[in-house]
Amino acid sequence: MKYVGRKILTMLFTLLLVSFLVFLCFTVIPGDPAIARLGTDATPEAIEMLREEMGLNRPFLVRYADWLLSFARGNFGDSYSYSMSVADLLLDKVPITLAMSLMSIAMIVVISIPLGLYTARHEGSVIDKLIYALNQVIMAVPPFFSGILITLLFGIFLKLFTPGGYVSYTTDVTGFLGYLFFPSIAIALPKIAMTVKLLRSELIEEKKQDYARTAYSRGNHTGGVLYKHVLKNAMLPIITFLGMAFTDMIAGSIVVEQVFSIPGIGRILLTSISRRDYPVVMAVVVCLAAVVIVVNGVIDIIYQWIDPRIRLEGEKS
Amino acid sequence: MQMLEVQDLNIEFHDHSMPETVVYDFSLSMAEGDIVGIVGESGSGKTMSALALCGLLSRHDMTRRGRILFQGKELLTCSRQDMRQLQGREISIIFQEPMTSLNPVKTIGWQVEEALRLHTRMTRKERYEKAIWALREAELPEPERVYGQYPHELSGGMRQRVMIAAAIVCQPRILIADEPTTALDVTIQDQIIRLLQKLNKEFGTAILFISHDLSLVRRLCHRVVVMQNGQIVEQGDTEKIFRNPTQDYTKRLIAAIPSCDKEKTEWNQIGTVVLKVEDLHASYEDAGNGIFRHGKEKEVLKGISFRLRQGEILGLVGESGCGKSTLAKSIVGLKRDYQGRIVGAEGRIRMVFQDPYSSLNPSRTIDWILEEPLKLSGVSKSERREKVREMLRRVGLETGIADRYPRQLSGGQRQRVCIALALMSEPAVLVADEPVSALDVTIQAQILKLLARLREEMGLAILFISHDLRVVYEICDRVLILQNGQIVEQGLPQTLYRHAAHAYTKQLLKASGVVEVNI
Amino acid sequence: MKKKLKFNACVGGILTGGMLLFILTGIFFLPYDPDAMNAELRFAGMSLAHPLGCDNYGRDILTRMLVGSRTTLLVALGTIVVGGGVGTLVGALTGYFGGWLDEVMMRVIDALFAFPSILLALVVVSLLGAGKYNVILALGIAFIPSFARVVRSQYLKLKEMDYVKNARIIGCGHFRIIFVHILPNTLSVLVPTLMIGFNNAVLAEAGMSYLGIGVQPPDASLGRMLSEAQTYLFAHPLQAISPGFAIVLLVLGFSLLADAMEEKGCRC
Repeated sequence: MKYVGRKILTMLFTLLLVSFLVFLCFTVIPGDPAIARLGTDATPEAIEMLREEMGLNRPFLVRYADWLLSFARGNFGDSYSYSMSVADLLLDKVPITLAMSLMSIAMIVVISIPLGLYTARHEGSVIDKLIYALNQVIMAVPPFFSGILITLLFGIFLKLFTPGGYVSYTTDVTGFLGYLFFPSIAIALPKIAMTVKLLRSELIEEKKQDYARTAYSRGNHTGGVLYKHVLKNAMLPIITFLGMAFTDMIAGSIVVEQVFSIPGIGRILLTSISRRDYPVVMAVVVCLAAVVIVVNGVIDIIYQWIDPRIRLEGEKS
Repeated sequence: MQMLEVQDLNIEFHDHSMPETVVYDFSLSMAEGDIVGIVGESGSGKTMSALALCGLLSRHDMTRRGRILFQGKELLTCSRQDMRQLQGREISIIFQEPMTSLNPVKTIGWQVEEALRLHTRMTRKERYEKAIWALREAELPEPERVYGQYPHELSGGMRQRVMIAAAIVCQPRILIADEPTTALDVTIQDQIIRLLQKLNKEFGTAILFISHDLSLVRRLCHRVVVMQNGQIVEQGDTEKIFRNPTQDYTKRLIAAIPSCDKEKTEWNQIGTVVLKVEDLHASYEDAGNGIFRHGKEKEVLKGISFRLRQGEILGLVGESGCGKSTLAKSIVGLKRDYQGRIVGAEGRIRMVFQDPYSSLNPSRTIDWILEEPLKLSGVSKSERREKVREMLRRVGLETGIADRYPRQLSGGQRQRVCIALALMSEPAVLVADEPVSALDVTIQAQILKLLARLREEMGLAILFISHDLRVVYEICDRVLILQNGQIVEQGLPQTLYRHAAHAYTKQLLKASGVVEVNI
Repeated sequence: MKKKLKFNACVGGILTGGMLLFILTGIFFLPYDPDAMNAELRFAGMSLAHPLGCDNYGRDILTRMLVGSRTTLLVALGTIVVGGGVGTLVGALTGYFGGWLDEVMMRVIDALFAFPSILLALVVVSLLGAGKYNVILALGIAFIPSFARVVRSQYLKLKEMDYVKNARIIGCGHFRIIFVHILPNTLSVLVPTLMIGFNNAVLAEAGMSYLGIGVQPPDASLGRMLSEAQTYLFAHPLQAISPGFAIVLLVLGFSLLADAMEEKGCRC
């Protein structure tokens, strides 16, 4: 339990650091937001008044603390360009991106673990070599390009979905999920390839360990050694990898939302960046980072729950 | 009919394009209750033969010829299915590395029960009881507690006992033990040997004991097989072979065992003191880094004092965890947070490590490695070359190896390079931390001879750290016995070994078989 | 296994060599002006004069690919130099010295790691503006954490080796140990990591150009060409296929080489 507590403390600390870095970047670099709002023609008095009103004349750390506190309370400020609160703006986009990420994760787990096991067990076979070659090619395709190709293949030729025909989850949930299915493939595809490759090499590596030989010596058949002994050990680095893959998948969703015209978080982020709508950008960046940190923290906790070596070390100190 | 009958076993590798035979015409027969030892140095094929017996050689990249009959059943040609029926039930094996041979993410109980799950139809409760029985037979304290623990929570000796428990849980007819005590301390080693003897007597389990340690084989085995380069050199009754070896190789092997019988010339303590350690205290902080973590301080050295004279070889004997490595680190300056005084030979202390594989930088040539100390003190290039050549000759290496990389050398050659490196900067004191433990017996004897010669030639003082009492007797002028960070006894080896006063010294001597042989 | 390894190295070497030769040609010889527009040649198909046809402005695609792959290479190499250089340095120092420096740096690295690399690049670009040098900076910063982690774990492992202890005993300074003794031994891990980083940089550049925050016109890059072509993909697929194919070949070649090297590193 102590390990979990320490992990949560570290996570909070990292979160604090992230928010500080973001705040620092967006306050120091873009120049005076008062000028940004009023334009360069505004009189110095008007600017000064707005600065006072926006609280820009207070010391940096006070402003940071203020921003952080209201952020923690769910008040992300107001958007410059949409003239509504950032929280309201983001709230109905969250389920879209979330659904897409969860679908991709599910695909990765369901597809790559059996494939990894198969290729490791039939190391050197024709199918193993084919999957290896396929993996290498998939990893070499830029993410949006695979999105385009999927649109071309499944949307235009096979007509399994209507490109650009996004359905909102408020009107039709199955239609919504059906539309998100193909973008999720685009996000998951390179990660599936990487997971298969990593799992295969981990399994082969673990199969050479002494304990696997011990398992054989007790009369296990190859499958028994693989499933009962090796798999759990080989899963440890995979779990860490999936945590990191999640980070990349959030980035992937930004691109893929663009390809499939999905009005998710990524869309809003891009338009806000081009409109220099900093409160929105800040809120999205900090929230995404928070999700990543929490997911990785949970992954660490799962990891130590599976690996008794870390569990004990955590309890000892 | 014998229980196990091996006839003309040949094992051939096909890993590379050229087939490579690792075992030639291996023949062996064992009856119920036999204890047979296979001895040989690394590369002799002893482990390969053992793995072939229990069907653990991959059938893909290997061909095996000959016959292995177990209770009249041919094992080489039988199906995998039939072989699995025997594995873990009739034939069991335990390995050298108890650290890595157990699955780190499964409980001890699960692993001990595995053979029962595979070979019997016992209920969960019956399996539990049988596992507890096996753990108790393996003399593990508190078997019920150990049952739920994970391998990393146990010490090396306990893990080996768990391996044994898992191997005997189905009461096999034959137990193959592949260097089961090599990674363990002498006293633990002794306990494991006694445990094997007990199992043999109680259940009549035949034991095939594979080892490089001839004195262990002599203590345990009824018969012995001597192997070299994949071939059997000699086999027969253990005592007969040890008393009257007929083959040259066997004679050489036996001669290479450091003997504690011969008289030593008394060391006269006249050289000047080059190193003085006074009341040294040191502690170790384990795994304590990070903002939220604090390591626990553990005192490992509790008031060590000794003197080392010019030209003296001082032996330091102790088991793992006694603080000998910490002492070595403090003396050579790798550890600075100690209390007490270490005086003399400042900057002129060098070290030789146990593992010659990790103590040479793999990405540099021997030349570069040996020249480095001279480079640091600004010696010119031509002079450096000359000195390196001279040093290589001095440690008995050909100068031609200078442009090779460490991985191209054998273990013995590497250890010679390590010694050469230590001597490049003309040290006054050499700290040798288990310098021969990782080497084969014959190589070991050569390195010991080299160290003794260098001491004569250069007036070198050597602090010789070892767990092996025989080696220490052979080479050291004076011995310190270290236990739990304290020197419990010291003296000249010939007097100390025969008239040990401290209980721990007596225990060590007994465990390593020195006393029994001498009395 | 060994056979496949050689196959990897061969195919990877041929692909990478071919792409490098292609880029090298572009430095010395361009058949047309890459920015010359010609309304008549809009979406021209393959011909002897224009082997890969022309794009939506009537610019010669082959010429633009020669120029664009150069930019892509520049961005990817720049990213590796910035990210790999800083990452290696940070990883080496924190791994070797440990202590509070390690703790502080690793927390910062963790914080950086919480940003997906494209997100981090987006933030940097939104603050500094687009353009190829800002893309290099953005991706470079985004790639620091992954390199730092890999190098740090190598140093943590290697600093316990006896040869490092020996170097300290014979009187080497810390910096000599870090760079002369340990660094060459990390190469078997570091080089494949850098090559995979190179690939990720190529892919990320393509992604950023697609989002309109990467290389800006009139500069051409493979990623930019691909994203420009996307609008006309269904009517004129040729415009997208060539740069897309070039990216795939470049990345594939490098990842095969990286695989071959990793395997070799493991066996040594």
